[in-house]
This record gives sequence, structure tokens and C-alpha cells, in this order.
Amino acid sequence: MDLRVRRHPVLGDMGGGDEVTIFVDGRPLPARAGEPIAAALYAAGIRATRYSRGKGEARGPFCMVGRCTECAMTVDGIENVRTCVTPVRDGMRVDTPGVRRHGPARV
Amino acid sequence: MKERKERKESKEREEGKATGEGGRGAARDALQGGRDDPWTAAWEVSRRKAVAVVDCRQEIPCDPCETACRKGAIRVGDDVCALPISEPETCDGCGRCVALCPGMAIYLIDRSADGGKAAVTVPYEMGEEPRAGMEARVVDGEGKELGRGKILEVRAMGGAAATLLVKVEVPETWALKVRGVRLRQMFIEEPEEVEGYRGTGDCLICRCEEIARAEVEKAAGSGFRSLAALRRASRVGLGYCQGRFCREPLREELARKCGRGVEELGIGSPRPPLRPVKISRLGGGDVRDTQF
Repeated sequence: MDLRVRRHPVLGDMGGGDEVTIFVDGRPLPARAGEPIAAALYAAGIRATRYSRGKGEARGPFCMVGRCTECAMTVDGIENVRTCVTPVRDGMRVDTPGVRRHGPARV
Repeated sequence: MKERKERKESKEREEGKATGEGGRGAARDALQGGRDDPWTAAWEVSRRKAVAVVDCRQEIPCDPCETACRKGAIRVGDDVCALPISEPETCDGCGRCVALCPGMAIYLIDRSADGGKAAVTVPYEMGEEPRAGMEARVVDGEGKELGRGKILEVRAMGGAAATLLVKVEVPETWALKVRGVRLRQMFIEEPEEVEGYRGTGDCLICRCEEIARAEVEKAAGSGFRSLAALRRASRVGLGYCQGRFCREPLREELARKCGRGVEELGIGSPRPPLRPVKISRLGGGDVRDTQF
């Protein structure tokens, strides 16, 4: 699945950075240099970025501008990184924090 | 704060500018011959010819519609935030305003053909190529499907060539409801449609601490009279985002329950840093490191 907008109806061809690879929970995922981690996940159809600490519910990017922290993941071992405002880097390790206790395994 | 508000209101009174809906509503009535809404006149004129209907509800600084119209049939006026006022008799139905309104809030209606049909022209900016003769799903302002309509004509205007004008034939009774056409199904599933998943119920007020509306209502109704007290008791607003998203609904709920005004409750006691930063940065780490 790739939800990237390659040709925008009004803005035209979107171009995009070179392909890089990030590792999401250990699995390689192609991404475009310069795009936020959350964008790469979303484009691949990954909607859950963490599982809430209390109820273990799936959470995903909500505000996309770095305020709500719903997209906070563990990046290269650093916890609580807001993935919607953090660009991808080749070889980056992105891990989903929390444990699922409700809902589907991967939304 | 309060004084400043009073000064502003008295200044507006001096300038003869009424606050709220009244002022603009009155101006609109005067320009449109006292009719109660902007669509009545357009509806009547559309019996004879294609005419623009302006469904603009955003009082934002925006006026391309005014300059788009070569007939001077749309006016925003000196207050760039005012809602546009259209003059259907003067409108020649060219569609430039439809193509140039950034909010896609203008469309044409034409009821001149008989047979209970109307031709509605809406802007279209999605990737697929609509063509005359195709069937399109016709939607209202909330994206709800009204039914299907036949595309009569597709054209582009100079200056906004990426925005296509799609003229679609619909039953006359839909003429004022149609706001767009769709050529395909939305391809992203809404989370509600994920099988077997209903979440744990109620809508969340505090997303970080996972506190639902019912819990906030219960906590707010148990005698607290300040945001700080409610926060300490329930942890609402004390999570990752530090209340950036829940503060407003929280204030409103507490105000309702404790009988104090929203203004009076204040905004709690926000402290720096405004954005999350790494502790190491506060301790002299690399200031270019913007992650937290």
C-alpha cells in the first residue's frame, strides 16, 4: 500500500526525496528523505503509532503539527519522539511504544 | 483584558459597526432588496439563466471572488473579512468566481431548461478526469451523497486551469444542496469500520491521560472550583501534551458544573518551556537538537 500523493491535482508533480529505509519494529520500510516519520508510516498504511499506557488502546497521528503527542514513538532508542515533526533518516529505528490490550493488532 | 474588550466594542459602536451577525445581515438585506437569505434571489433568477450562488460562511480575510467577477456582481467591500454579497441580476454565469474561490464555496445554478431539472456547476480539483456524459456521485456540503447526476460539460478557466468546472444535471430540488461531485469511492477506511473494534467507549477529552468525557463530567461535578484542583484530582491535562488539546473542553465543562465563568477560571498556570525539549538541552546540550 502506498498512499503518497505523487501528482497533486492542483500543485502538479510532487517530486519527493531519495528513497531511504527506516526500520519499524524491526521491519524495513521505504521512506522518502525529508518526510516526517509519521508520513512514511501513514503512506504505508500504518495507522497506530503507539498503544496508550493505561488502557492499551491504539493511537495514531492526530494533529500532525507536533502538539498532541499522539504520534510519539521510540526513535533510535529515544522515547517520546513526536514522529509527525521528525524527518526520517536512512537506517533509523522506529519502535511502537506500549502494549496492545484493545482493538486490532495493527490498524 | 476586559477593559480592552470594552474599548474595542465602543470603538465599533462609534464607527457604526454592529458586532455579530446583525450588521452584515442588515447590509446584505439592503443590497438584495430585503430578502432574508442570499440564495432566494439567485434561486429566482436561475429560472431564466445560469447564476452564481455564494455559499461563503468564513469571515476570513479573503476576496478573490470580488476581483474574479468582471461584471462587478460580487462585492466584499472595505472589510476584507466581510462575507461576499452577490447580485444575481448582474451575474452573467461565466463561472470565473467558481474557479477562483480558494474555498470552493461558489457554484452556478441554472434552472432555465424545463422538465424539473437543474444544471449545477461545481469546482473539481481531484485527480480523475471528469468528462461529459459520465455519471457522477453528487454530494452535499457535508459530503453526503444526494444521488447520481449526469455530467453535461467540463471546462477550465484561464488563471485557474487546474480547477475544473463540472456541470452536472440533477433534479431541480437538489439545486441549492449540491456542493460537489465525486467520481470514485473514498479509499481510506474510517476507523469505525474496522471489524470488531469499538474502542473503550465515550469520546476522549484528555487524549494523553485517557480520560473520557463522562469521567471529566463526573470529576468536574464533584465540587472543584479551579482547573488546578480538577487536574490534580483527575490528572486531566497533565499528560504528554500538557493540556494543549483538552484545556478548552475542560474549561467549558468545569465552568458549567461549578457555576463560574470560563474567563474567570483562567487557563491554569502554564509554565515554560512552551515546546517539549530534552533535559540535556536545558543542561547545556546541543541547542540545534530540536527533538525531545
